[in-house]
Amino acid sequence: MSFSNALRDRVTDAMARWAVPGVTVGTLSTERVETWAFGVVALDTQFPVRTDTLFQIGSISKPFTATLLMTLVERGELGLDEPVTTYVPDLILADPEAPDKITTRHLLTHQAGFWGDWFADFGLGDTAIERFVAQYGRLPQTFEPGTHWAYNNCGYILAGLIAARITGKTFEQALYDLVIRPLGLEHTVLSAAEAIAYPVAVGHTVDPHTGEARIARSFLRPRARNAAGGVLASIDDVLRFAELHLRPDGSVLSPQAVARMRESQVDTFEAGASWGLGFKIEQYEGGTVVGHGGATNGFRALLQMVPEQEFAVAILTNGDNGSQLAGEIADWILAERLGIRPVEHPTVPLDSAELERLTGVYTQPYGRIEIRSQAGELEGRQTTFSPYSEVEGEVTGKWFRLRTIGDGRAIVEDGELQGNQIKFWDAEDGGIRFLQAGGRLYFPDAWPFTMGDEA
Amino acid sequence: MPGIALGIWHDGQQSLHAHGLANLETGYPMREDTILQIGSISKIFTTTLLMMLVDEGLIALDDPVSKHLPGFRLTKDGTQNDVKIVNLVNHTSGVYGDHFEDFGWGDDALERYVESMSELRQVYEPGTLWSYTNSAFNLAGRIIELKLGTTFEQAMKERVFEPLGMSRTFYFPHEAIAYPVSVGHTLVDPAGDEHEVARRWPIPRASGPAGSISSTVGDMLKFARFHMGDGTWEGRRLLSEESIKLMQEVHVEHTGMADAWGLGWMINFYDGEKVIGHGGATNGFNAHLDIVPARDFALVILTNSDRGAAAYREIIDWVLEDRLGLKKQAAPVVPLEAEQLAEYAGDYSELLVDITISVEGDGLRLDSIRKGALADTDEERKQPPVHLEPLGNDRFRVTNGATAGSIVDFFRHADGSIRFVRVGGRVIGRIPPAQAGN
Repeated sequence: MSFSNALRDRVTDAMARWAVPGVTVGTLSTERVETWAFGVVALDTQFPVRTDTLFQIGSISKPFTATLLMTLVERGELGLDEPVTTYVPDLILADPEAPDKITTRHLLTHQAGFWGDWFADFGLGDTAIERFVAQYGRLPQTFEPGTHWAYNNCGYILAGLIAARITGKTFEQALYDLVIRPLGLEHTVLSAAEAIAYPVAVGHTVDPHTGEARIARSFLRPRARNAAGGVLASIDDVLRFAELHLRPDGSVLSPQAVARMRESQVDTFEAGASWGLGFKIEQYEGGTVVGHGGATNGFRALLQMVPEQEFAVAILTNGDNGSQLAGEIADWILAERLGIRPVEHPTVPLDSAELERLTGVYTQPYGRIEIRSQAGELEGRQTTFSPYSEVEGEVTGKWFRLRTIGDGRAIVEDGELQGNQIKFWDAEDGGIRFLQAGGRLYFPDAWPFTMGDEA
Repeated sequence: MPGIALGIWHDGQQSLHAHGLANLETGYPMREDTILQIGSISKIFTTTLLMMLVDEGLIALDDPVSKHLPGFRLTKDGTQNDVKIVNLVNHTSGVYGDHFEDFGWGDDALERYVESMSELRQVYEPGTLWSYTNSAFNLAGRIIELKLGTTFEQAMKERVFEPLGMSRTFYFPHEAIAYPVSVGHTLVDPAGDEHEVARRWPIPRASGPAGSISSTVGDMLKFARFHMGDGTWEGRRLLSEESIKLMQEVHVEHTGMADAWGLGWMINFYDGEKVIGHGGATNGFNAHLDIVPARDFALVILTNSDRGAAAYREIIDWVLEDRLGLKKQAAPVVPLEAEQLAEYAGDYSELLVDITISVEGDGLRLDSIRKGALADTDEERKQPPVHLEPLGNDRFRVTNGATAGSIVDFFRHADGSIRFVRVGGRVIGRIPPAQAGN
């Protein structure tokens, strides 16, 4: 069976299993770029996805933002290790000492420590990002800057503001002028107002009760979020962006800057995973994979690059379960084309006392995870209540099995989160400091912080 | 033309039709529920909302605009005390109209736009002439914001779209994008037939009250039926019957784009029957709504082409004759002597267009160069010349091209010399011959 036929079979099967209506897949190798389109742009119209269809790429926008900031580093206009107050002297954070300790490197590597999932809507105007960051005094400092890794959207929005302040342009204009246009990306935009004139996909959420996909009528809107997740692009343009990082020609970034961006800067909570300047770096059996995922309302996306082999795979989807599909397909392609595979983590059993120590409820502002011990096995269950989700109220998932792999880590063995790692971080007093899952910090029992008032 | 959606309401029956493509690039078909830009038909919505404020006593049509905008300066001439609210919605303010400056997507866009109106020209004395005036509707939109204490779009959503059940009618691209929605198409060459997708889709937010609604033919028929009713919808009063009727009465007679103008509405007479309506033209979209209240009849045509107007004019006339037996009687030609025709010859200029009129046979020739703004590029775009036949009383009619049948009027100074031409509904000043020679 040809690769294309095998891919079609696998993607079609995964689309049905995960209720994902539309997908584009692309690969970039030293020989060629190939792209494929599957399914429909929207369930109501059933119009076919095309290889030039724009999708929201969500947090794959963060490598774009990091690339923009690196262009400023290369021009000598930005110091990665300068405190952010050098560029945003009016920054106010909950911890008054934090602004002078946090650097742009911390922002790009998720080490700033202030809580990072605040997404209030400051509209569509040019000043949205300024007004958004002006509220950062509300965000609790969840750890000392530079001492930990925790996924931080608000950190990337601050990085976007730094780019705006340095260039004297809006963040969007700076990204167009310094990254998107120089790369020749003609199907990459930063707003629905632009995307609407292109072939563009509609997002789909999954009904938590029926498991069926339905159209997400709320398209991305708040402009302040753009630096963390506002890019819409075609599969070709995502691959062209990957090409900059795999085969830099010096036009946007020097080969040295590109190499710096994928050097490990900090370990994350996942075994074998670290973070560079904008990218996640994962050790696979047979190679290093550098990439980023993306998740917005109704869209999921994934970019995975193997720099040693100048290879990239990108997958864009218009379904809320697209991450599972993208993970499966990307891993299959990496195995099929390059012979590299995710590392298998052997089970490290825990004794009953240790299992008992891990059980409990762990909480963050938009959800909680319950951990219980059943017949010598660890199990978990997640409840989400995001104010930004189309699903109103609390949604509690099914109990999933956890397989412990040592160093406080466990892997989800079944259900929608299958394959995800979680990690219990020890406190100095012998208790649990927090549980980390999905990059977020869940604290034992109640969340120990309060959101400050609006300035 | 790539695609068209059409809706007819007649005697309690609705029929919706879709033809062609919503997008030439993708080949996605037009659907009955496809969202298209309705352009300036949005002005009827703005007027409707303004009349709600009149009903509530928040404003009066005869109030000077300065009464509701303290400290506001209108035009370089400071005409804020002379322009009345009614002048804003019947195109008689005299304020320069084709002002589309983009103040971004923030909630302050309309406020900033209105501040910029102090830099506009007062083309003629308020209330003296009719000239199509986009900017005046944006000013009306700002007054609505101030009176209701919310954004203009939110006010319309709460007071018009939602009560009428117009669930696929939007101001913002991020709202329309999650539904079947059409792209606009412009002509590659104005003289040819080939269309291309217009990549600049949105109208600047500040020009929303003048023309940035997108809707479906189904939703538009709801709006049309509301205006054929008594101001209630499903038992709920939204507007007084007096205001519904007042909007449809003749307020201005000598207009360049219709037989007369009401408040917001244009009015045409077909065999004496009053047909009220409005057109819309944005980048790549042309649309028209016509209603015949006396016959419980409405027709809405939404197209995704820059020259959809040429098609909808044919369709409107055919449908009105076929369904209602109504025919528009064309005014007869009134021959003029060569020296009479020569009076009109000369150069006329406004920000967006340069016009040259010359004598051609028994009539006039009109050459125009469009200058940017709503055109796809900033390049000056020369339009194909058209021939004008005389109708008497300084009025002419275009005989050829995409604007065939449209009216061109001339206006004179007190001394009898020509002061303005009105083309495409816009009053455009004549460049005095002495200057034109420079």
